[in-house]
Amino acid sequence: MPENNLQNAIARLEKRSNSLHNKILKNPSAKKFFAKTTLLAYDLRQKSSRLLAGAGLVGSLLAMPMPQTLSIPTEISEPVKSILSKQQKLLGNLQEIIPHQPSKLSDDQAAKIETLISENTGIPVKATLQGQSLNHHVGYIGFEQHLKRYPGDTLSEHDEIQEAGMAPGLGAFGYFVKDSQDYSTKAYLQEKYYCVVQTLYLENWNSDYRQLKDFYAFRKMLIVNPVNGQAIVCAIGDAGPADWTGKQFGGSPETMQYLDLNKGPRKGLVLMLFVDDPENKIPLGPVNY
Amino acid sequence: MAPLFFDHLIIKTEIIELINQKQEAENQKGKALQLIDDILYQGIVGHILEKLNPQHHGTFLTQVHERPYDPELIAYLKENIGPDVEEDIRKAANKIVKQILKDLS
Repeated sequence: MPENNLQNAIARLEKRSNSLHNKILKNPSAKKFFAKTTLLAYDLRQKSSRLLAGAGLVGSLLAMPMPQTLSIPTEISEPVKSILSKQQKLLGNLQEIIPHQPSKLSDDQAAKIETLISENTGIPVKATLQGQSLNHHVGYIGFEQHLKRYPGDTLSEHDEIQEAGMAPGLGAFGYFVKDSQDYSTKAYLQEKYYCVVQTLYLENWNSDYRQLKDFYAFRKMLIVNPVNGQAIVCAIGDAGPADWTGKQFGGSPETMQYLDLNKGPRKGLVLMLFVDDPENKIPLGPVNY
Repeated sequence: MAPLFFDHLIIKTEIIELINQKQEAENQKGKALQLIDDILYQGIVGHILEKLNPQHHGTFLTQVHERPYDPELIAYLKENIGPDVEEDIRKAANKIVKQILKDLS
């Protein structure tokens, strides 16, 4: 390489970096994510340096093969606990509290869990909302089929996990919209991330059916898998499952996939709480925290 | 030097030697090295996103941001992409290194 060519080379490197940067931002998740942070290795190395210094781990990690790049000075250390992600912190605390069997939380357990989840995910949750509470807050969730969103909806119209099939009947609350003309992104997401809860076993279900149906239909719930910390906001799309199944909840194919409960027996113990969202600000779908 | 989780999969010796041989200002060399670091980071993250199921993109990016040094990220990728992910990243990195060498020539 001619000695005076480094500036030209830098121009070519800048062009390549910009091209890669733009390519990454075509990915929807990356576009959303990098709107909040930078895509510069330098920034990430600085952060890595701060975290490791805080945890006292610099020495041990420096024993690993290292990159041959610029030396970045370490900065003032952060507390060790900062290296844990919010998901890890929530998980560690939840696992201490959540019973590992189907159960209704005590008021004390519910209060602790509500605080932990709200603080770590930013999503306000309640075990009891407007006087309503499910018979179980912790229970086994099973893999459900797709639901018809409007009259004439077919399996091929569902974009993911078509192998799950379509339930032959409607959900307990009927179609998500009355006809295909009204089909919206909201209805698309409600079915994609729907859950099933046992409203049919509520003590006053038969006597107060009308009011309870209005309360529970498509209501937002937060489901947390306490084994891996995956959390997802779902809409109640159906009532069930029957007691004899040994399960207390159901999840759409996409919900179960996100919770990582779509393999093997396709069931697992989860936490199910109401999302307290009177202004409808919390989006349906996976929670990144 | 603060590590990133994929650093051990990249061989940059040839790049470093090439830049060090240059009789140019240190700040220019530093700028080139920094750009190369960015290119490798962006290229590898882009490559991983192409291989990883979109449902895991958010979690992966968050974990990179939260714990950029963590070897557990490789374990996460092995679980969600496949056991040969390190070899796969290594190959992608080699390809990027060759492109960088071409840019430097």
